[in-house]
Amino acid sequence: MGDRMTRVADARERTLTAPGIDGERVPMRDRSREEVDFCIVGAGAGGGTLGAKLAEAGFSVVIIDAGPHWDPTRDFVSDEAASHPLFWTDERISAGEHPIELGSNNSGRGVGGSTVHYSMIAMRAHPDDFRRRTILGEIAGAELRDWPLGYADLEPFYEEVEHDLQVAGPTFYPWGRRRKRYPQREHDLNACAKVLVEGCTKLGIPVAPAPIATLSAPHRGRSPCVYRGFCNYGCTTNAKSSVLVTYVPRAIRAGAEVRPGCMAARIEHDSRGLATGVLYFRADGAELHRQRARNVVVAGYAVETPRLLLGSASAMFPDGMANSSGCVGRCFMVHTGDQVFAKFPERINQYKAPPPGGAITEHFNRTIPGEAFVCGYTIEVVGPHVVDFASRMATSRGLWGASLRREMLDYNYWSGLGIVGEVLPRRDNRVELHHDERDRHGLPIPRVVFGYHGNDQAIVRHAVRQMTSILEAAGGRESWHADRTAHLLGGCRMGHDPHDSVVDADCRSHDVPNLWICDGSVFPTSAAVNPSLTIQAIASRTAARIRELAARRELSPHHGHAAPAARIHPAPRGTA
Amino acid sequence: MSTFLGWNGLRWLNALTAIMVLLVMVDAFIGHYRSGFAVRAQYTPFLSGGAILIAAVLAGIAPHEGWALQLLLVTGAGGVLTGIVGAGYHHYYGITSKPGGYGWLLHHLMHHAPPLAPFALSAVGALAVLVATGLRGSGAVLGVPLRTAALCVVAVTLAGAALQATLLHYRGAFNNPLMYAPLTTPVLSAAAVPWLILTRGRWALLSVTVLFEATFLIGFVGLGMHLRGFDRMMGGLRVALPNVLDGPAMTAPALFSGFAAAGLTALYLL
Ligand SMILES: Cc1cc2nc3c(=O)[nH]c(=O)nc-3n(C[C@H](O)[C@H](O)[C@H](O)COP(=O)(O)OP(=O)(O)OC[C@H]3O[C@@H](n4cnc5c(N)ncnc54)[C@H](O)[C@@H]3O)c2cc1C
Ligand code: SF4
Repeated sequence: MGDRMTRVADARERTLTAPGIDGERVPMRDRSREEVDFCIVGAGAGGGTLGAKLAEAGFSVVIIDAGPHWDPTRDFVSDEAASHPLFWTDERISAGEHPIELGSNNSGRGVGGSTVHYSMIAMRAHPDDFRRRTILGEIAGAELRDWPLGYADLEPFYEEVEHDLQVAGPTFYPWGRRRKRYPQREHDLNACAKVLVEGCTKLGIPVAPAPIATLSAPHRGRSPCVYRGFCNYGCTTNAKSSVLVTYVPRAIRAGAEVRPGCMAARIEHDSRGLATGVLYFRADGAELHRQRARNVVVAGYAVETPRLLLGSASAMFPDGMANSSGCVGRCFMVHTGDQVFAKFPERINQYKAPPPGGAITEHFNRTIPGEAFVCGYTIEVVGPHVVDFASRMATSRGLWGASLRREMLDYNYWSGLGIVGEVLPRRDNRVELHHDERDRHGLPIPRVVFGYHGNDQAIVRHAVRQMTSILEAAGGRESWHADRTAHLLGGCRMGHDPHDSVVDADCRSHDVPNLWICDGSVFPTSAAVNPSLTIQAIASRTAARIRELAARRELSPHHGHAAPAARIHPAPRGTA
Repeated sequence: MSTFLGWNGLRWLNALTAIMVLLVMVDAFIGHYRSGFAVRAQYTPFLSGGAILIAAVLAGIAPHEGWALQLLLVTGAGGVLTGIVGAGYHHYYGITSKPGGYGWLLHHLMHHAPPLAPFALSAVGALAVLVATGLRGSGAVLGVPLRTAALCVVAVTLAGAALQATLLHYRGAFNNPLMYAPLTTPVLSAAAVPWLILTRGRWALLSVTVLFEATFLIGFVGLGMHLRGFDRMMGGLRVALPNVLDGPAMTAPALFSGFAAAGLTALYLL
């Protein structure tokens, strides 16, 4: 991009405003002229959470995001089709033995990231999920690794995030480690969740209320959920604890600048290989802008994060930044998200209430004795809206035209279950740059290559059988199965060994000490639980570690130019 | 028997009975309307409560007419029974017949038919029986002196109401510190009443009086807070109907005031 003009943003100090969460505008500090302590790329689960915690610790922070800064009370509409701009639908090539669908089912665009349209299931991973390699050993065709941190390291941060999000969950959750009570009480069940509870109870499968990051009681000016069920299209009531309405306002209040409509194009570095800032495009503009920073954090999720690192290749880093291990983009994972639907004699209204419905079973989230596969899956409730459901009917059952219309008349009588199935990491599953095709900014688009391990498919077969029998035990008929994936993970795995991983347990890259990666891409293995709470717990832990490192003067190495090294003692809150 | 503003204790208790049965019916209506009167038995509290209301009004107008008192006695006893049967219904439809059954007990207790609510009608019915007995000239019900009997009804009701309120406030995650209020003076009042009955001491009387007075006030605070509770739901009081249906029980806190007032009446006017 050398022939394009690079310019530092306007030299005049401006006071900006950002959308508040109740339709108001809130003042926001303009930091475009500064060399900030942290420039974070991506304001989603990882970036938004980390940004708020760092700003509150007194660091100067800019968070840039490619998408808009939504005003939930004005921008979100209760309309499936009109909500499309929430999703990351930039062109990507999907390839491999089992190319995955990319878009509304797995990634978001805009401040708040994918949490703006996620389903809010707020689960902790289990202690064994962090030790897959130790527990399972070598598995042919898979590249299992232990995480460099364990459950005990994350536990206090899980608790902190659950508190910040006011997760509503059961008084006693039967799976995993004993835990403190959730901050809010579980929601009531919708009809689909009743089906799950009914079916599981009949079959003797333990089932429990689901922990959901949506208010079940008022909290600080936010009202509890009204159960209308538009969560996957942006919640208009602010009951949903997305990053957009929780951490982002905190970040702004603490002095961070959240800059929407900015697509990071590359990370810059100096002659010593230290990151110096980020070059980005604004909206559809052709000019590059620069944000100088003493530390850069990449939090663009499992496709865009490797893409940005690979796209930042230079003479010094010919294979992309932080990629001396060759691991950037490798061991990319998804969760299997297969769903089974059955028809019931009574009205179900599957779209009502948050999609997780209120019940869950982790009974099969373990290596089941006697089965020919390792690891397992969680069964959750799903409630696709009409267009989504119709497209599943069309693709999975081959219905079209009159037959699709006829079946869709019974939309309200169908009830569904879906899984979060563990997918083993495979080296060949990867994100790479497609140099022949470029996006509207001229950046190479990502190519995502994916193929299942046999184990992943065995899990799905087991899960489909179980879901079918649960639905049938509850009185469902005419069941059918839709194959699907959800959640993108890995691609920049964390680990102790710099030759075998991209970042360490603190999310700091092994190669470039002031470059951090803090999102779903750091997962070494996928764990059969929804990932956002773990991503946010890791982000909170990273923020705590950064504070500790700063206090010990170990944060960032000195830069050559006039800029000071990272502030040693974070400024007290409120001074920013 | 002493009087207050020209009415003796029994007439005051009768007036309180009329007011409270109305409050109970309002909350029952909201709850039953919300579930769409899916079971026909959901109409019974209004038949039984309505009858108590009419009888109490008649007994208020004609406190010396035998037929009016007879009506109050019968409807009161009917209320006691309806409450007990109602609790059985709440148990069956709220827990036993729900998916997961007893395995999901806490969930059902929080989210479905409030398990203790029907007993409010029993409590009001018991007051009606007590008033009718007293106005007919008897000084005791089932061998228990009126004053003691009234205090017992008040104590048990306050304890039950506190329990039911705590369960629902737990569901609301005690999101406001005032949600702990039902656990304070109502519970202490309920605990202090046996002390008073057993010792008849001056300190006990003073304590129970103060606790009843505080409980009386707390009920009004609760009413205000529940109103605010509706306002904190989506759309606030601008969309009153759904928020009243889904929010905190509208008149429930007033029962604390009502029964505390009944307690004070029993203490000083019976
Ligand atoms: C439909 C759906 C339902 C889900 N349900 C659940 C659930 O119930 N529970 C759960 O735990 N998880 C759920 N998830 C997954 C969860 O939302 C994600 O795993 C999580 O948000 C990922 O966090 P992240 O920080 O890695 O990325 P994101 O939250 O996606 O944030 C990435 C952000 O980076 C921005 N960005 C990317 N590249 C650039 C760039 N180059 N320049 C500037 N900005 C950039 C994007 O615009 C985006 O805002 C769901 C996801 C979807 C799609
Ligand atoms: S169902 Fe609840 S969380 Fe979902 S969009 Fe509606 S209010 Fe928000």
